Amino acid sequence: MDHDKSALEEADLVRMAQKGDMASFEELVARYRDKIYARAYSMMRHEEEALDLSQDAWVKGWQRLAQFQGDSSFITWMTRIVINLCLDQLRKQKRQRAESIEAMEEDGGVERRMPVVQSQSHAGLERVELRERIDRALAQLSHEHRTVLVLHEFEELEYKEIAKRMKCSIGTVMSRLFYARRRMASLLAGLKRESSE
Amino acid sequence: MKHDLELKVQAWLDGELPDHEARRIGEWIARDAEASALAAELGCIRQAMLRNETAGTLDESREFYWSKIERQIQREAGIRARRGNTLVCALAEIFGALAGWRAGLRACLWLVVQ
Repeated sequence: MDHDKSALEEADLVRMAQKGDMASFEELVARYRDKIYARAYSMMRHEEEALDLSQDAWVKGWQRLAQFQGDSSFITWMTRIVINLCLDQLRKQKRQRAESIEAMEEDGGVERRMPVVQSQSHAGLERVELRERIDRALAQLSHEHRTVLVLHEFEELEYKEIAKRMKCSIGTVMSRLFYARRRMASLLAGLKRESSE
Repeated sequence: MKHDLELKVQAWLDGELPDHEARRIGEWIARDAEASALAAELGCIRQAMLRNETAGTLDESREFYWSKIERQIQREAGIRARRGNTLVCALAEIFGALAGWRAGLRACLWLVVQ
């Protein structure tokens, strides 16, 4: 394996990979594999699944490399691929579930009736601690609510773009985002209470 | 508060409203205590999540992680090549059959004419 490529610029590596140089592509994989895996994990919350999907994304990336025009950065382009694979997988899983817990949570009835959390539940927390709490709270959301949050807050996509990717209406995106945030607010407040007891 | 108004508060916070509506909703949030509390809560969560994603790291070595990707790329390239070959073979058979059929037809016509 050629490790001398580590000094090369991303654009050069992409260009060489587009010409069929696998060693350049391997260098790109090495640079961004953690980010791609992290995005898959944030959506799937399952280590093995995230690992498989992240590797599938790289295979797809290689196969579609000719389509990459450089309109966005390479990592943004790759992130879109892994997100789409995760969404496909989540849709497949949802179809397979006879009775979906997500469907019950979809109307967000409980979150809507929750009183507004007044205090800034995360104020004063260390960054690492806050990240851990957010991570734990995210794990408790339904796939739909977590996905919409990940796409909006971490990927910074607009409602329209999220709706396109999740194959639903903008209204559904707004609703899911609202319930997801309210649930996060209550979960983070709950975590705060737990830690102070 | 009605649900559509709750969603308006959120859309205002996310900068998803057109300018004239954003101004109107912003003024209403400033006046209404309930709307303002909701905006504060949603904004608080939004702020907390911003740039606070847990960084995931893979335990697998670079070589091991890549080896599976490389194998899959090669396997799928092989499948595509085989599919391509099968298509070429199928087309060749079709053309062969057509050519044979035309030759047969020509021979029949020649016999009829004779």
